[in-house]
Amino acid sequence: MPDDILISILERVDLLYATRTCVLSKRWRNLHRFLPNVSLNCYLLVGPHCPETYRFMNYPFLMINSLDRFLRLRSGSKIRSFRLTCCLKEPLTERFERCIYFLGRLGVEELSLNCCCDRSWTYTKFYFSCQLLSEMPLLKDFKLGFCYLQPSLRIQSNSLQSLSLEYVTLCPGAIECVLSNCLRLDCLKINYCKCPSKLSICGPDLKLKSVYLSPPTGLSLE
Amino acid sequence: MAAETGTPTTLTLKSNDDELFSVAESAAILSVTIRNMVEDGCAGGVIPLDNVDGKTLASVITYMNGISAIPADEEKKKSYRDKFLSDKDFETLADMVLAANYLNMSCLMDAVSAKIAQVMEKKSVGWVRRKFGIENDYTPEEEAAVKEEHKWTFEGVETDDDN
Repeated sequence: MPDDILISILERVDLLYATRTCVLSKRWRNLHRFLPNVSLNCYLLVGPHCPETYRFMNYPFLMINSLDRFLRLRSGSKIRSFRLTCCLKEPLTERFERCIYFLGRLGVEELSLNCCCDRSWTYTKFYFSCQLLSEMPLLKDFKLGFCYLQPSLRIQSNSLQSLSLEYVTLCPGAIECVLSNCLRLDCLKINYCKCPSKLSICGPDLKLKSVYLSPPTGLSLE
Repeated sequence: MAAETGTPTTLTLKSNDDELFSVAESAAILSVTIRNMVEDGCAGGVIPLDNVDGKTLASVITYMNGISAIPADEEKKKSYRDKFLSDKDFETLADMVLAANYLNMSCLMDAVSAKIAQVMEKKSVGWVRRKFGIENDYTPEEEAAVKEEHKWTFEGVETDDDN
């Protein structure tokens, strides 16, 4: 069978199994690296020991090392959609930013990022800076969960059309930063987020067609 | 085209082992490959399909007729596809995915890929090698190294090797 058919089959099996096919033969060794849609979690990155491993200091480093290695192995093959659900921690911020940079280079168009795989969120603080949107020029659809969204001074032009935030703490100015820099944004969802006392959804040239808020918070629409 | 005269046009398809099949044009053009030939006016005589054998082509035509008889109802089409593929063995599925790819029939291609994925998912390395006709060209040392590198994917795996 030609490679593209094998990839279309592998796309439909669980990533763990798809990866395992690398032992079949030399030809299969790299096939799984061409899957355009990737879904990763703690289990896939550090094995079945999360969240137990989590108690050990080295967990975040094991995780980010795996993620980094995974993305490096993918260089040269596009990742269209990427889902990551894993416990990110603050000391990783810089290395995580490199991973986002790799993802951007791999042409990611859909990104779903849940920075927590268990209930530990209440005591983790992971900051996602709006600046990172500049690293992913093709990103259209972004879902972010369980972290802090931080504004940044300037974001380079990007293609973001849809942003969905769930269980995110919005730092003051974060939404304003997104709205004034993501000029193609047409859908914004804010669910179960901690918002600053005043949140204004306004801008000179908004393309927003839909805004979802749940539960509704004190919001000024201008 | 015959639509003007009211009688459905029939196409004749020829497999690579010289079997001939008649099929309604409206069903056959589910294949983009065939549709392009019809649109280019190459469908006057017999359409040769060099990459599909008679047994597989018969199956594909059964599918074309079955699915095109269902009105636009995705639920019903899906259940037809599930039923159509439920009794096919691995070799037939493998032939069909190649045929669907050659004929450029995305709905059949998706359904058969998903079915193959479902069949192979819990199987052992040996089973997959056997069924896909894969020759293991790793040396034992290389295979051990690749396995070690991806050790985590083999933890807690139970496989079954039934046929």
